[in-house]
Amino acid sequence: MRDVLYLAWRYLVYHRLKTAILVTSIMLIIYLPVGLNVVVEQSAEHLTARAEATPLLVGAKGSPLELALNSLYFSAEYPELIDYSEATTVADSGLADAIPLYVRFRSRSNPIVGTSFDYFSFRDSSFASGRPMAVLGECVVGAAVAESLGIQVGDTVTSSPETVFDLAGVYPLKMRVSGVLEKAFTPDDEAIFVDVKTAWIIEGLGHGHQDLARPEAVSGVLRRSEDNIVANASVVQYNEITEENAGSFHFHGDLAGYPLTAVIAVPKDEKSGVILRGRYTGDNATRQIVRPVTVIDELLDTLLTIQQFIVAAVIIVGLATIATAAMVFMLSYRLRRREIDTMLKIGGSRPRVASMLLAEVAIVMILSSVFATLITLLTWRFGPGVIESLVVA
Amino acid sequence: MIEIQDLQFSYGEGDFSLEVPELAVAHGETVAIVGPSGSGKTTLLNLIAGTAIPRSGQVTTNGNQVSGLHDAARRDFRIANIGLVFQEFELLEYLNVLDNIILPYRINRTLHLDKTVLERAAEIASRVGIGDKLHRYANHLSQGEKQRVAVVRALVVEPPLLLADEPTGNLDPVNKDRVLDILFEYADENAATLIAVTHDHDILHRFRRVIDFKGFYA
Amino acid sequence: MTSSTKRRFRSAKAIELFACVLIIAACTPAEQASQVSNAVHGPPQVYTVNYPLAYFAERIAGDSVKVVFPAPADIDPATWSPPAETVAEYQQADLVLLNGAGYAGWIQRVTLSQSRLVDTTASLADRLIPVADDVTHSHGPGGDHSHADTAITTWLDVELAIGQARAVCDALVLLRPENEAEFLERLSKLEVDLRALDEGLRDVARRIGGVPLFLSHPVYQYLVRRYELNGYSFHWEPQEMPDEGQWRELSAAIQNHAAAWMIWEHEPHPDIVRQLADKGIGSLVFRPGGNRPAGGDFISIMRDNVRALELAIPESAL
Repeated sequence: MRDVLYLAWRYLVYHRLKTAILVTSIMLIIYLPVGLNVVVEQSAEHLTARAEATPLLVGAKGSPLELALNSLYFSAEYPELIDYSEATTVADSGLADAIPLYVRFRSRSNPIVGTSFDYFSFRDSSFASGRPMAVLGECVVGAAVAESLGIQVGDTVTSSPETVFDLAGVYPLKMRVSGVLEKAFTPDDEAIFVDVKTAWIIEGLGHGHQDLARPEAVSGVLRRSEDNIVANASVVQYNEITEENAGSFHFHGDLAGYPLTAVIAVPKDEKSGVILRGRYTGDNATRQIVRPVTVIDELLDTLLTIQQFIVAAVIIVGLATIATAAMVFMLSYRLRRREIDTMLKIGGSRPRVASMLLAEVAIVMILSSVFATLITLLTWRFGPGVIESLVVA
Repeated sequence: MIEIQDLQFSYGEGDFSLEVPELAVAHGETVAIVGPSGSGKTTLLNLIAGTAIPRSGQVTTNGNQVSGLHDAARRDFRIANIGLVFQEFELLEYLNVLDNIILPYRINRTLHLDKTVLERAAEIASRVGIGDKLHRYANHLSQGEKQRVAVVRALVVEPPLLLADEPTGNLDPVNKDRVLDILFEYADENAATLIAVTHDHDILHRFRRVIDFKGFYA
Repeated sequence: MTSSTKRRFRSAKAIELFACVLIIAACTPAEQASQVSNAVHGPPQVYTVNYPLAYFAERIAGDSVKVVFPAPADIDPATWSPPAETVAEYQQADLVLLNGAGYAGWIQRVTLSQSRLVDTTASLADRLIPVADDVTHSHGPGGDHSHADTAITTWLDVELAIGQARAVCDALVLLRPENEAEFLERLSKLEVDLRALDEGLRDVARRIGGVPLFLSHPVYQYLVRRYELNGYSFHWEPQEMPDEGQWRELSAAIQNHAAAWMIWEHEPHPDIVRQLADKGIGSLVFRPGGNRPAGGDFISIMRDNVRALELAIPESAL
């Protein structure tokens, strides 16, 4: 056997270009369906796990997929907004705990997730350092954010302006990092978490400014009457919340009308969940409640259908490739007729000579399989992240 | 060494046929077979080697009735007892010189490749002047070097019988003599039988016997 | 995954896996470090935003819970803004008792678990007293607005205080249901003390009648309403000498509201007392009791307040 393998190996090495082409072709035919399956299964597992961990989402009537992707994966596209009162409604129902979400703004490419303290216990988050945000202007960053930006507790991150030239638009808010999360292998790793009120401050719905009644604010006063002061545009608004100016931050109007993108509803039990869902049915309902696992399942069904088409195409191509490879081997055998006759003439046994030829095929198949396995492992390691970012984007 | 009785051979439906009523070659004899092209010289070598089977008659080589053995037995006998040298060298281009030389040991399980064989191969190769080229690919050699490799391949199994089909046909005069020297030296040292088919009348004087083949075919 | 999706995956796998064996390598996330949880050993922790609520919780729950009111002793909890580290302590509490009515504005600027917050005046919203800042400001399209909506010292209306105590009890029962009977019994005893307090205040207020009173700071709205006091509020601080404008305001107020007493939250500066005395206005201290006292407790402070108010009883009523 050793001699047979040796002779086969020497032949393949000598004709390395032909061997490389054959190995690559067969490797691809093996890898494509397997790798695709690995990626899709892993992605499905990731997507499903995240969806299963989120019982219910309340949002504006519209695309359930957009609602789920924005709430679970913090996609840049956000659904129509709902009022903060929706979170209060869910909480006051006694049927579920409510966790508000306002996922609209970004700090460079990282999503800023406005939420509540309860989010971290809900997601079972662990802190690598620091603590949850405590006061306005503080934030918690995911592990990947900390790693890519090289930031730690005490550093700052700044929200990105929505439009550069919009003078009335969203101004950057500098936020202090109070905590860094442990790597969770979820979209939380890429996110920056703030209190939902901090997100409203980013939007400009809340702000802090100089006390207009004080003398040093005189330049910011447009006009003054006995009981009212009107400020002009030059009044200094703070773009960072510090201990000194925190007291000046305030919101105008009723917070119940302030915006959210979604509310995560965590039912007390299954029955409560069913009752809660029942409250959002009806043709006139302006709100919807979705089960993320149902939405993601439908998305996965679509992915699976695409996958099956791709696999069918790959199988057809694969059969053609195998046929071509077989033809290559047969032609090679024909071209080597003289060499084979020589070996037989000088006394080589037919089984040995045949084994040598078969060993060449076997080595090519084994090499193809090994390389396909290696690439599949790489796909298993890195593929789902790529797919997830493509799906979410 | 070789006895042929009432041999008749033909290739399928073709016109060619070969008849050898009687032929004997003694141990250690050096025989040259001459004759016109197509007379069956190579066919006779094939019959002696057992790579062809007669329609009738007997071929006995070194006491073995080769014509009566089945295919596998003939191969086993051939690889251990007969050294074959071809006009076109018939080396494997994807093997180096050493691997070509020891090829018989890799392609038949009756021969065992071990250190002794490797040493013998190297020693013979050195004697014929290719000892420093053992790790070169065969197709990187000159014609003369290639034929020497082929000869060493034939000699490495220490066969009692050498069959050479136009061993010098593609060689220049210098290499021709060199190759013949190797063959005759081996035959002489090992009391081996050498039968060579050749068109080259300049080398006939080196053989003890010359058989003119024109009488053996029809 | 739905069962139909699972089935389709299995059949898809059967078609696909014809070539090689995958080496499955586990890759598990690292061991999790600190969790966000109540790292509390021992009884549940109950945090409050002022002393009266802490007192009620202590009276009702006793040793069953650990009551924490972390504000420094020398500040007014109504305007206190705790540092982030203290807010982090509140985050770890099992229960946070809020006064409501806009008390402790810092609550709007921090992140706390909503499920652990209890607004003790939530069910008393219709009895809260709306107020407005003297000066509003406006900027942008939002129009005029001020930064205060309701009066905050709700417990000075002892009937409201009883309501808040009941809300505290309800929250504690949810936290420790196994102690419900004990908590209810302690609540009833607390209510007895509070009702006695209420009776004492009503009695002294009745005896004061409609005698005009000056209130140094607008923190007595609930006291005035509940006990029908005739009060006029200024914006004076006990240790800050009023400026000329404020003295003029006082002089003008005397014309229509001839008060003989100024009620202070804390001991006023002697110079202020003297100047008021020159104008025929005496000073008495009625501590709202928002922060933990150096000595005594909520009931004893309020009893002291009742005795202080007796100074304002006119001679005719004595």
